[in-house]
Amino acid sequence: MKIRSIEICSLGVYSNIQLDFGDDPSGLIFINGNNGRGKTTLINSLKWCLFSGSRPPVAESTTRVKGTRDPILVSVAIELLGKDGVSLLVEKSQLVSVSDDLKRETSVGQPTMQGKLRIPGQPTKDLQDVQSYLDLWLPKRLEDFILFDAEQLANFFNTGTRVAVETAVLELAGVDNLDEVLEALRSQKIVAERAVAKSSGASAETHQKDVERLETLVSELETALTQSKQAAEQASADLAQVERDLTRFDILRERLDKEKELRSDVEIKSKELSGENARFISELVKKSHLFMAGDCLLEVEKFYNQGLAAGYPLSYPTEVLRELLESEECICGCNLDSTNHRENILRLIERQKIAEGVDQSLPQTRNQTMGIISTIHATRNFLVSTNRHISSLGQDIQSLERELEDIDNSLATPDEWQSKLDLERKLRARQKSEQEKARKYDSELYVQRTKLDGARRELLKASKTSSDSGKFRRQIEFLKICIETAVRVRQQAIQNVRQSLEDSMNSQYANIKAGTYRVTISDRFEVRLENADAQTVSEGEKMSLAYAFAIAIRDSLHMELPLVVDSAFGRLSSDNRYWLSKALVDLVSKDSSRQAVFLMHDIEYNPQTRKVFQASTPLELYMDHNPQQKTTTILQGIDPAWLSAEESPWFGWAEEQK
Amino acid sequence: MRNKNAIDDALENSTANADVLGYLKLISTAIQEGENSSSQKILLELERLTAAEQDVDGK
Repeated sequence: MKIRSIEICSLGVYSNIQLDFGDDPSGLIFINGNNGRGKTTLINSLKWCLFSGSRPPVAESTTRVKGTRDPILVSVAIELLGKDGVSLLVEKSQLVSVSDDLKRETSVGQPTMQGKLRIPGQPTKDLQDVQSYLDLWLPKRLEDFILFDAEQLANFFNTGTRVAVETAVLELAGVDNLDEVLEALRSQKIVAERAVAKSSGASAETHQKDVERLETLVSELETALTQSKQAAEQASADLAQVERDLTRFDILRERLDKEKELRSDVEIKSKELSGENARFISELVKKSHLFMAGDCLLEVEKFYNQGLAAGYPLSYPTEVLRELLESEECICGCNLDSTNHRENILRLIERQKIAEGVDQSLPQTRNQTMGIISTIHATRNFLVSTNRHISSLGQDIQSLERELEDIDNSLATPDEWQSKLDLERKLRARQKSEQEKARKYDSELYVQRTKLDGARRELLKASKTSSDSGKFRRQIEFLKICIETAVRVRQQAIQNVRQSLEDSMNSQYANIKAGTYRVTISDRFEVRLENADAQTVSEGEKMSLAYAFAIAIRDSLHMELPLVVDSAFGRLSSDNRYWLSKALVDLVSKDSSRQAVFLMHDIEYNPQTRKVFQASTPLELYMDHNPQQKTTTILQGIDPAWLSAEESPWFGWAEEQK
Repeated sequence: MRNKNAIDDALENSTANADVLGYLKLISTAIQEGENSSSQKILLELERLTAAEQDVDGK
């Protein structure tokens, strides 16, 4: 089956687009566009129309033109092309009222569905019950494997997908019809049992009613018990996953504790730094006069020493020199004829005065000076060490802050953490409650089964043999065999589908990484991918697992369903991309009624990817977006914006082709 | 659009006796065609298959 055309009116970035894939023979359609161009709106429009998903918002471009006074009609029409040229056209529309600020939308009335069936050579048939046709063409049970966002596939087989796989397998096995057959057989058996009872009299009829009532009760209890057990198991499985997440969070929590410790260290160090800084400045101010005084005294001492070195001995007291001057005698014995000697003696007296003063005060001053100098040294040392400490504190703080930033970047958000804790609590409660329910059902089941056995014995005692009852007894025996056979066939069909899917997926994995991987689908429909060396399965590998399942459904079980994928290559490694490309080409080339529609951005669909698909001549379309109008149209070819953007892998490709 | 499903395959490969399989198919077809699964036609077939001279085990 293929999607032949899609028409979207007034949704998201689409004011009105019509995509006509015609009878594209390749079966491969690539609709390319980077983020914000309308890939997700396209997928969601399909989901809304085909599977009752959420409706995308009303197109702003439409409200701009039509205003918000009257409700706006939005619609999606899809034509599906089946075998032998039969096609199904489905159109879903809805009136939507939009608030003036365009922020609120209210659906007016219920959406309407219209459908037409076109069979070649026959007049087009308007369908009354479109949904039942859709269920037949595109079973909702398989929605998860028809339309999906490949980015979500990595988590597809983690939790909560057992039910999706189970419903898919049941759909593929086609159990619905057999379940109805079983129901019919059971009803016929009851009719026959009642007939036997009736032919035996009132007492037997009463016992028959007891048996029927108890059988219904036992059957309900069995169903409830199974559901509770499954719910408890599912809760356990989900809990295990949440606990794994929380263990990861525990590691982060330890880091968070460390962060708190570090933050407190930073605070202490910062305070210390600020104290040291203040102390440094105050000491600097306080001790500044000491520096000055010390410096002066050092100068004086230097001067005194220079005087001694210059030969102005202190043994010539000033008085002696004065006497020599007054008697006009010189030290050298001359009569001071030379002005030079007189001046010399006068200078000597002046110096001597100073030297004597210094000499007298020097011992005392020297002690003070030494004290001051020692204080200065101590102060200097303190200031130097304080300065060093400040600098090291600054470095410590910087490194702590870097570490904190690393921690912050690796931590889950508190909301994420809290929601996991809430989920864990809920799952524990659900697990406990389901286990308790299961215990209660189990014990109740024992009681009711015992009663049922008793009622059956009573019924047997009360039953009388007659020619009429013989006929019904034979019917009961025959119907019992039919029921047992139908149950066995049902189990066998499910087992066959499971086995077939498992084999197909394993053969695909053999193409990806030979011999390393093994896919299993358990009795409980859990899909597991194990690798031989027990390494953790990467996100990309999980994504390829979901693809393998989607391909297996189509390839091995011949379900002719289109495959529509957003972000098709997502997290796949280049190896897996190559495998997927080959697998897709293989899938669609085997049967002309198969189709894969991929929505990709330029990193996914690049010149290398294109090469793999080139031989299949896929239909290449691109989303041409007008940011002013907020509208997107879809055109054929490679986006010219990709070809001209330097950062795009397509840059220069067009020239290379020439 | 569904192809022949696994139930059809399992029925074909079942070792149950022909009467049982025939009867299951009769009801199955009736349901697929929107008929009553306990219609007169089906009940008559049940009576025929379980008539006194018929061995229910088909042996």
